[in-house]
Amino acid sequence: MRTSWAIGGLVVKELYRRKDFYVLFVLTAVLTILLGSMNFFGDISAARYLKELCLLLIWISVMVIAIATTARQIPAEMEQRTIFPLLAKPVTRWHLVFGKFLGCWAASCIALAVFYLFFGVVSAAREKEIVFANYAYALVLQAAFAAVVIAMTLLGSVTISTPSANTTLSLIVAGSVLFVGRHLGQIAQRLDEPVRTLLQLVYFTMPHLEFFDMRDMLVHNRAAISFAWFLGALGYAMLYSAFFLCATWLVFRRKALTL
Amino acid sequence: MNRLAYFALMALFASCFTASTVLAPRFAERNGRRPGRGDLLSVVLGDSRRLFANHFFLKADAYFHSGYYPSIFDVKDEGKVRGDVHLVSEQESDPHDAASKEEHQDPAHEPVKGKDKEQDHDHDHDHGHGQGESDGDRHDQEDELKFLGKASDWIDRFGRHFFPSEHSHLERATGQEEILPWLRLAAELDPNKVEVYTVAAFWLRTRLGKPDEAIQFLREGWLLNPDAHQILCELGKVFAENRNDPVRARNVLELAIVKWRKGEMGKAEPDVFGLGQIVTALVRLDESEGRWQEGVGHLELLKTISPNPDKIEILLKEFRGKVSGKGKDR
Repeated sequence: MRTSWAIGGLVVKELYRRKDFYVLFVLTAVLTILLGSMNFFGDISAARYLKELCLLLIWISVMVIAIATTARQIPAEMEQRTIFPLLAKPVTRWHLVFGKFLGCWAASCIALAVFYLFFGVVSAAREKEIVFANYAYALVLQAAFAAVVIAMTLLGSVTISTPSANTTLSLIVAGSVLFVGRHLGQIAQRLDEPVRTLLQLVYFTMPHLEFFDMRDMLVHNRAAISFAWFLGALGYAMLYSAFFLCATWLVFRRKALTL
Repeated sequence: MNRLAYFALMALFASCFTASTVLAPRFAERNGRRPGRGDLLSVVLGDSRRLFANHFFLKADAYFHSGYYPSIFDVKDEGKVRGDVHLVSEQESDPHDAASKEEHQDPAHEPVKGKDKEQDHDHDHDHGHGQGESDGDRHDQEDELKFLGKASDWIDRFGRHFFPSEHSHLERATGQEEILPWLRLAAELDPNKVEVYTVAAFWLRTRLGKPDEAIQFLREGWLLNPDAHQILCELGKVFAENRNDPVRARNVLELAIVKWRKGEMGKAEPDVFGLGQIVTALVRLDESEGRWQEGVGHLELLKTISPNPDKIEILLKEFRGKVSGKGKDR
C-alpha cells in the first residue's frame, strides 16, 4: 500500500506541474462570472441557470482532467522506458496499476474540491437557500464517478494502442453513459430482436455513471437524498472500480513492456 | 504583374463583401424574416441558433417544474413525447385574468374551439391553477406529468433517487424569476419564436410584478414580428390590466384583430384560440368602460368561435339589455 501511495504521489505532483487544471479552472471561473454578470429583465436574483452552467463546466473539466491524466500514465512510463527501473525495485505490476489509480483519483479529487469551493462561493452569493447535505453528497458522488472513469481509462491504457485514442474513446463512453445510460433499458424495449437483447445486455452490465450525477438535485434545491441510497451508490462505484482495476492488472500482468 | 494580381484580388474581395451586405437582408426579407439583431450569437451560430431556441424554451418549462421533466426518451405508449409546454398552458389559462372564481365562471372566459383537442394536457392543468388550490391538490390532478411510470428494473428504481423524480412547481412568491434567463436566451436564439415573448411577458406582468419589462420585451418581439397577433394581444392585456390604460389597450387589441385577419383568414386551420383571446380581452374592456354596443359586436364574434355559444348568448342578452336601457334613458 505504501508503495502504491508513493507512485500515486508522483501523479499528484504531475497535476501541479501540468497546465490542464489551471486552464480549465480559469475557463470555468471566467465563464461563470461572465454569465453571472448578465442581467435578465432587470432581475439579478436568478441563480439556478448559473448553478446549472457552472456545474456543467465542472463536470466537463473534471472528466477531462481525470481521463487525460489517466490515459497517459502507463503508456508514458513505457515510452520513456522509466517503467523498467520502476519495476526493478520491489514494486509489483499490481502496485503500479493501483498506485497510478490512486494518484489519478487523488489528483481528480483535489481538482474537484477546488471546483466545488468555487461553486459554493458562487451559489452562496446568489442563493437564498442551500441544501448543504446535497452539496456534500454531490461532491463525494462525483469523486466516486471519477474513480470509476479513472479505473475504466486505466484499463483502456493497457488495451488501446495510443493514449489519444484511449482518451477519445473514454470521453465518448463516459459522456454517452451519462447522457443515455438511464434510458437505454427503455430504448431496448422498443427494438426488435436481436438488437433488444444486445442492448439490454449492455444496459445491465455497463457502469451506470448517471447514478453519480446529482446536478439537477443541486440546481433545483431538492431535498437531500437518503444516506442509504448515497452509500449504495458509493458501493456500486467501488465494485465497478475494483472490477476495472482487476481487469487492468490481469491484462497488464502478461503485457510485454515494449511499445 | 504581381501588384495587378493583388489589386484584382482585393477588388474581388471588396465586391464579394458588398454583394453579401446587399443580398443578405433582401434574402431575409424574401423569406419573411426581418433581419435579427447583430449580436454575437446570431453572428457565430447563424440560422442554426433557431434549433437551440426550442431547447431553451423547454428548459424554462423544466425549471418551472423544478427539474422534473420528461426527456426526449420519455414517450407515451402511442409514441408521442410527453409533456406539453406547461408555461404556455399557464399563460393561456391566464389565472391572473380570472383573479376571482366568479370571473372565471364568466361565459366570456369559456375555452374556445380548437384548443380542447390539442391541449388535453393543458386542460387538466387549467382546473387547478390560479384558483387558490394547494400544491398538493394541484399535483394530484397532474397525472399527465407522471411520465416516469413504474420503475422497470432495479437500475431504473435506484437511479430515480439521484434526479428530481417528484413533481413540484416553483413557488408563487419566490423562485419564478428562475425561468426568465432561459426565455430571454430562447428569444435571442430565435427572434421569430412568438410564444417566447408572450409567455415571458405573461410571467413578468402577472407573477413577477414587472409590467414595464413585459412591455419592453413585447415591443422587442413586435419589432421583429410585426404581424404576430399574439404579441399584440398580450401587449393589449398589459395595458388594460397592469397599466390601466384602456384607450391604448383597445387600440392595440383592435390592431391584433386586423393582424389576425391578415395572417389567419386564408389558413385551413386558423388560430381560433388566439382570436378568442383577443375578443375576450376586448369584451372585458367594453364591460369595464360601459361600451355595451361595441361589446355586443365583440360577443357576436365570440359566439361564432366559442364551443359554448349558449353561454355567450346569455351574456349577449345582458349586453343588449344594457344597450336598450341606455337608449330608453336618452
